[in-house]
Amino acid sequence: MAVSFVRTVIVFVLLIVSIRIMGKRQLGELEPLELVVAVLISNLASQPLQDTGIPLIYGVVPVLTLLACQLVISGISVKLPRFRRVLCGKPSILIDNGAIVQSEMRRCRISVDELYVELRVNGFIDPSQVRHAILETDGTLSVLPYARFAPATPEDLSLEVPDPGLPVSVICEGRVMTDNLRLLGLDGRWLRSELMKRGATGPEQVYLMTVDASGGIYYAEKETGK
Amino acid sequence: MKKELFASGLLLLLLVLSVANSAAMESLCSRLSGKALSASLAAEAGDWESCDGLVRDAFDLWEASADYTHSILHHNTLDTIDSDLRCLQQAALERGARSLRAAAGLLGDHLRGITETESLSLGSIF
Repeated sequence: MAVSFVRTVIVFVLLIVSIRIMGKRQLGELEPLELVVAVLISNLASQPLQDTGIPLIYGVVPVLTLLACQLVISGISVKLPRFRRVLCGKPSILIDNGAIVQSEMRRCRISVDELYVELRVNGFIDPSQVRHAILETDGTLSVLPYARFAPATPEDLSLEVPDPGLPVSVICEGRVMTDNLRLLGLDGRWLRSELMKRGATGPEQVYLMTVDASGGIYYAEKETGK
Repeated sequence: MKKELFASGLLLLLLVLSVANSAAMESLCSRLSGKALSASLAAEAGDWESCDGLVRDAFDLWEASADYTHSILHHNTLDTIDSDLRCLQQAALERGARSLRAAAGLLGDHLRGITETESLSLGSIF
């Protein structure tokens, strides 16, 4: 058990160091710490399940050790930004004012093709349209275009657009969500009248009905005979 | 902050339990191998009555800690120790001092293996 505990801590630290050295391009939307825990936990937990000759404690101790290590380290990294930088690295600027920063591209081992793929995914076909492209610590690329290439917003066009707020479901798969109805300040009478307007005799005929803060209703009838 | 304190406490608890487990396992193994060795010495001195008692004590000790050993040790290790104890018992029943010494030696070796695996050392970690 003690050996299992110490081994887990050693492998945990070793994997974090390895993944940090491998660089951000290996991560794919997970921070190094999260990736290590995800990779290790799935393997560790499955061993006692596959082999009944291994006591459950050999899965429980390493998983608890990893959980505690992850909580402690993420807690420290919130308190100490420098520690977080060591653990997760810092964002890399790959495009600065429309110019590809080749030294940073080499350091992150990102090819021009890969950069182009990421730009296209973000809706840009030319690096000159991009003011900054930043490779985040979780391996994703944030693309910030020049203002003239950015999609226009209602504010840019001086348009007044009502904010509908968060839609809340009042009927979900035929069941009335009474708590949500109450939250919106509505009642059963209002719901019945809305259903009647749509030709439904009861909530059991409705697949989904949502109401947003501005009173907008989304209504989907249940499909029959399928 | 509460979460971090809980996690630190959990890590500390796991470490303490692990060290306590190593100590408990070492104590159990040394008591068991001590009884087997004493049984072997008693057999060589011709004191079969003491030998039988010591072998029975070893069995009782092992069976009394079954819950603990089953939750800590790999099940094939448990089978090995069970088989070693049966050999010891067989040798005592047949009044064979030499075979009893051999069985006690084998049991001692296997128990030492368990202790070394469970104890914190560079060798067992790496």
